[in-house]
Amino acid sequence: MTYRDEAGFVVEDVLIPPPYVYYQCHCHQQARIPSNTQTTPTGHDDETTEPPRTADILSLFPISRTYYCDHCHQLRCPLCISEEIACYYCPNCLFEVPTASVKAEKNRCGRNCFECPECQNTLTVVSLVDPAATGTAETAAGGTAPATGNTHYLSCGACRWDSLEIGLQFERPTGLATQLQPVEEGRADVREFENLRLHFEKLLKVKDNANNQFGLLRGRGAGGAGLNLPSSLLASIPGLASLASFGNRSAASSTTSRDARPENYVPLTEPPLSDDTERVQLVREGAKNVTTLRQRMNQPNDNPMQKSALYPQRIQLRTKRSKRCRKCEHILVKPEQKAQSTRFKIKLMASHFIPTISIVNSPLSDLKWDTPTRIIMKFSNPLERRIAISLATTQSASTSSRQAGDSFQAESNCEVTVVAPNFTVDPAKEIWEYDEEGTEQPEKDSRGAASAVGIHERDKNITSILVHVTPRRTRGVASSRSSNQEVIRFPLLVTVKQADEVPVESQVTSANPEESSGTGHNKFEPLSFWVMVGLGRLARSNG
Amino acid sequence: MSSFLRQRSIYATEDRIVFDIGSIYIKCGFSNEPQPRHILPTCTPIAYADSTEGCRIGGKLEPLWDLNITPTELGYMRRRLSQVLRDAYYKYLLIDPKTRKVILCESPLLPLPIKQTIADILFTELEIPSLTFVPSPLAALLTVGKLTGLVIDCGNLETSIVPIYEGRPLIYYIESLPLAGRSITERLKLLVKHHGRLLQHEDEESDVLLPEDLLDSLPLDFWEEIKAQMCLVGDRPSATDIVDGTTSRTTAGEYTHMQYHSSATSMVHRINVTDRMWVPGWVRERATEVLFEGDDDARSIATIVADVMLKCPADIRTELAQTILLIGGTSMLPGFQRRLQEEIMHALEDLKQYQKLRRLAIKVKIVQSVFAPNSMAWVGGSLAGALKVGGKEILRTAPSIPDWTHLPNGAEAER
Repeated sequence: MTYRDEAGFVVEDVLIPPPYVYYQCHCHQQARIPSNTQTTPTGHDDETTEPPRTADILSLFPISRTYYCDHCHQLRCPLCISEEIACYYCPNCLFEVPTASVKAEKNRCGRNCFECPECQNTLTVVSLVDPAATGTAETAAGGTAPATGNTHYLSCGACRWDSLEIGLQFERPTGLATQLQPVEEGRADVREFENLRLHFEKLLKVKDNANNQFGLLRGRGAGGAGLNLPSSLLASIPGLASLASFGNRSAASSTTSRDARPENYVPLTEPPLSDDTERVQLVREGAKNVTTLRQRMNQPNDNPMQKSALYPQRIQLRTKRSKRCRKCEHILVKPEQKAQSTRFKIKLMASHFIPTISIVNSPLSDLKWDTPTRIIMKFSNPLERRIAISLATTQSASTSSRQAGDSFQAESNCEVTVVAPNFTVDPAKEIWEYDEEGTEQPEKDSRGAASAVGIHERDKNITSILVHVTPRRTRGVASSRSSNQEVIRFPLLVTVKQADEVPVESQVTSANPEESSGTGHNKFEPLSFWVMVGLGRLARSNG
Repeated sequence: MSSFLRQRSIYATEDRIVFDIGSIYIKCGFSNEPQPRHILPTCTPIAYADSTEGCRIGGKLEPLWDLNITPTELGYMRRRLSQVLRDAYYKYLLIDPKTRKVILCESPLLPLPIKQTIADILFTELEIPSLTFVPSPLAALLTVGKLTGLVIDCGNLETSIVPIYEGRPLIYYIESLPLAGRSITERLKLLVKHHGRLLQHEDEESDVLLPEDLLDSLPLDFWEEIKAQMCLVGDRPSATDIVDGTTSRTTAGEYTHMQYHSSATSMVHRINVTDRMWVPGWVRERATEVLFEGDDDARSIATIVADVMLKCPADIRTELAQTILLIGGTSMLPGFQRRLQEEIMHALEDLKQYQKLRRLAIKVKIVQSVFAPNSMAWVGGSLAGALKVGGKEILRTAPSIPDWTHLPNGAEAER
């Protein structure tokens, strides 16, 4: 599916499977429109927001992933927040790791947690009790008593791999990581790296001394060009005269260093040259035990090709992160410090502040080109006040200064008619309050009769409305990379305002938000955001 | 770049984050460590197709950029790269980007818009304190302890040859070819389409060709897997290896590539629950011939190596020929080094245009190292970070990308 970028180019989508209702945060536009970022005093920046141009997973988010900053009164998406790490923990043993050991253990768990090199599941420590030593029958159950003469090894519950296949055994069932440490440190590449570092440090000292002897500038050389021209040549080229001095000094230093050049580097271990013939034979014979790419990359130490060289890695730690709004630096989400608890101290999710929109009936099979379909969209109000919602599509409203309506209309692939663009949604109440009210049928009926046009149903804090959608073929150019199916979708501008106590549906002009509800601490500013609604897929026919 | 080793800067003694961003794999880790912590494929998250509201699982591997970058793709690439870098920091490296300086290993042929995008993401979205660029070929050469050599970087999109002398990359003699991992994948797909077979359910052998839509639907990581598990590079094919005739017509259409005899056995790879793919042995061995056959201008990897040596000044040619270094993931295919050495020697000895270099053929030597070729550039970057050398440090307060394609004048030389 292709769209036109604001520069007029065609962009590909990364498709979200329909049906969906995904939210767009303002950060996406304001990054691209540097000049037009004025917001009116009421915060209602309708004229600066544009509908989302691409329906991809990288810029649109479901309501479960958006946050709400109550200081700026704006939606925030995962792209425009900054994160800070609150705590590190191991996902297997749920042990909270202090920051100092995180660095020492290289972001991995230092206690007995290993992952299977074949299937990346967790390994369990299994003990074999030696009958000769203790005189009891051999058991394979996980024993914790560290009797002498026991062998402990790792075993995978999912793929039945165990570390005895590679000959890895332990003496004690605890502190396995420390038992492996000397092996890890003695690896060839670690020693080689150290050796290299020492060699180059010596080399640098020599060069530094050489530089200092002549009192040379230790600064930056001639840009990045890597030229070592003689100073006379540099002086003759205009604009490079200042480099003449550089050329002079570098020539001098290189002669000095050439005299005092240290010995050539000799690698610590000669890598075996016959390595390749072994591997070639291995693959030529169609080896059954060649590792997969993922297994190899899990072990960046040696990228083993044979399964017998796979080594269990320690489990990687995970983090709990607290998220902040980038603009005002207020904390949006703050988890608890303990690794086991899943609660949050502060949790400003968008679903608590803006209505959740979903599609009630998914017309996946009913969509046909040029046939109007009726869909029902459900708005649920999380607040304790009645809200008034106004909807706008790229075709209906938009008297904005940009010719936004025209250019978007050429791209969207369906005609959308919202039958009731303005409606209210009741406040959310607790369950027992609904029971207390009893069956208040008259109230529901009166409201239902007055606003029957376009409103499908009202129930508690939910309003469902009708929307007519007619898929139309796009007139745009289809790129060669697009699949033969097209997702029918349209952007929708949702404006949420606080409604008066008296219901004011079916009015063309929106309600006045400021004068209602004099309660101070819950002053609710009008908020608008774009939503991309995807309905279903249609095969793109030829012609 | 010229003052790479002479420069010192007043860094703190903390470790820095080292990135080596390739088009399909990103290597990341901390400096002063001998291996990258993680090698991450650059996947775009894909959503589970059948659930409502789509939950994100898995990823679709696709290259971050291509050899030609258009401005639209740049926007898309920027979003993906931002996603990948965030994941690298928060899920794998587990560190706050604001606290550590970053070293970036860059290939000398990386287009400037891509460098700018990377730097932009790092500075504005991740808010790193400072960024240092380190040229990949030079970094890789450091890992074998040498300062002079010919670095052949065989990655996914292109193969580039960079001669380096005394720590200075000779950028005017760089050559590159778009024959690398991706061309092997394309050739493999073509050969499998014509010579592979579909095994369904419990079949042991069949004559059914693989249907085209099935082949087209196979994602890139499937082919990468096949390459890693099945492909090898055979020796230079002699006349007896080639099956008669260069044009082959199979039921899948006509194509003009060579068929070979081979001692490699055929292998079967599972595609999905019901289907398996049977690949004949010679396809496995000869899919990589695309690198050595030569394109329309008769340029192959071996000939551009010889071209570079021809361009270089005569007094350094011997030293360069004796210190050839292979880096990049594609060069890890079994048999690649041996074959490339053979091809270079053949090009220098037999081809007419390289007569001047005939005496070099016997001196050609590919240097071995204990580090794996796909992370050698990263290890070099880590070494550079440990030694506290590198290019100019770009601070967040004054971001500007060094562009070595043009010489700075006097005023700019100070920056």
